[in-house]
Amino acid sequence: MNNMLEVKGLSRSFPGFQLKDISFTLPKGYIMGLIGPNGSGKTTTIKLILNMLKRGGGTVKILGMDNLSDEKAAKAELAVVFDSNYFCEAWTAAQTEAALAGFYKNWDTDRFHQLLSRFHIDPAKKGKDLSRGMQMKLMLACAFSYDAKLLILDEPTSGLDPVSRDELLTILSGYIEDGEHSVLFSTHITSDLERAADYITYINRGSLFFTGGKDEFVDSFRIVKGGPGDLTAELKERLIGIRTFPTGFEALVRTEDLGRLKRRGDAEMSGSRTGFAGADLWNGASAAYSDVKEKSLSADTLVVEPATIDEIVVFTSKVLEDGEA
Amino acid sequence: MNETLKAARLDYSLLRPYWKNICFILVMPIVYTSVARSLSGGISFTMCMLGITVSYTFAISEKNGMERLYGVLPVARRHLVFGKYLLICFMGLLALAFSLIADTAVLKAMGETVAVWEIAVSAVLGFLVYTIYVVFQLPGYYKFGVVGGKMFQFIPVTGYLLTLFLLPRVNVNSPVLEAVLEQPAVLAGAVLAGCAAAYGISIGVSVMILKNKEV
Repeated sequence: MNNMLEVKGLSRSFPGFQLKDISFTLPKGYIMGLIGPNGSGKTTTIKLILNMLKRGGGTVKILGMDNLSDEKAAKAELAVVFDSNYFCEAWTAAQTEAALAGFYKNWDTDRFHQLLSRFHIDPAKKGKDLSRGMQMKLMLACAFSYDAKLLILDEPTSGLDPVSRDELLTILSGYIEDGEHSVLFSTHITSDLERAADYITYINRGSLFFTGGKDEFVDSFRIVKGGPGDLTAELKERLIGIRTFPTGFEALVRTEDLGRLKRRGDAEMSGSRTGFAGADLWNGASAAYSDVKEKSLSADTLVVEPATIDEIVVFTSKVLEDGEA
Repeated sequence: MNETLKAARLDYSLLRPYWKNICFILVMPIVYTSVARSLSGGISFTMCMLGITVSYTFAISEKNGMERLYGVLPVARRHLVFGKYLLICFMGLLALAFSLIADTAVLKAMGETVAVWEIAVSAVLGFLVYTIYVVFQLPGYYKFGVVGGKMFQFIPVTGYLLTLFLLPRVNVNSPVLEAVLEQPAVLAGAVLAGCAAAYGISIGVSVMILKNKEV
């Protein structure tokens, strides 16, 4: 069993929102970032994985176990950290342990207290008296105390200061170090993933946009910037989510489409669309790329730069918004 | 059963910070009994007050967003329901036993005569009214939560007022009551069977609600 989590064709409909055909695989020993703008379906996906919502279709396997028929066994192997404390706020850390330990046969009390000490959590302090970062660490301490193999984090860094966020990323890196644990990390603060994630699953408007390696994802796009005169109709066809300013424009472009651009930047000429799904999201844009070999773009003043995950999400979301408009 | 006990323990740990309130709730009816000089009235009051605390675990869970914790724990949803009923039923029996002893002692200290049949009838009455409060409240809280199901909190008070209204109208010399009291085992058995059936139905409904509930 090499995959910690296998999601296939996951769907669910709500009035006004539909999660469509979400599929991704998280291998053992890696961190996957689950990204997308607010309301894109990240938390819905996580709740469907945890069977907190009833799915409309698809399958979920956690450590090879079906999340419905083997729910209890599967949940014994996973831990979840939400954006806020989900323990009783009147509990002390010690009382939290007393309430939870019985549910996990692997619970190690010594380890729990070691973790409290490592995270500087006073066992006698009540949950409501802990800072948000400390509450998150308490949830992590519980997760690590029964050696959860899969850790699911739902927006854990929203509301945390940069120091706490950095600490969390360090903890996660240590957690997967032995190659036996994995993390699914949902966030809209994509800068966290630049450092920590090995894989990216990008959901937008309830549809899977990309799933695959983080480097592959980032390398697939570049940012193009130019002056007002550079934005020709021909170039426009190849750009994604164009932002125009009085001084010029900036947009996202697929790396594979850079082949015909004369550029001043440092972008490479390589790139692949492998791993992309939901091509329908691109509407006319994907069709425009198909004939790139036959056309030659020239724009002497264009600047091409590597794109960040944040920029990819922002520009591709803009395409979808423009498409809807 | 093991999972049911774990779930009951989890609910118990939610109540831990509220034990002082619950103890206060148990002491109040003793004062009531000493003023009203009625054992059955005192027991009914105790069970009414305890019936109000049935909402506590739901209120604490709701306040702390603990439905997420219940969604993550490796325990079947039906066991969470069994655990809650077990704890609430146990608390009811404990309160009933405490109240019977304390109220009888207070009444005797005040020079009142408390017959054994009166203690037995009060015990049966207390268990019966508490069961009625619980079996209607719990499915309501599972379905609507404490905020949405606020009207269910009035069940114990309404039940208590009804008891107060009906008790004085019971003719203790009626042949029916005499016949029933002549066979206390039959009375106790019938009440127990009725209560067990009511708990069974209530648990079934609660399990169904929780299984279909989305968090």
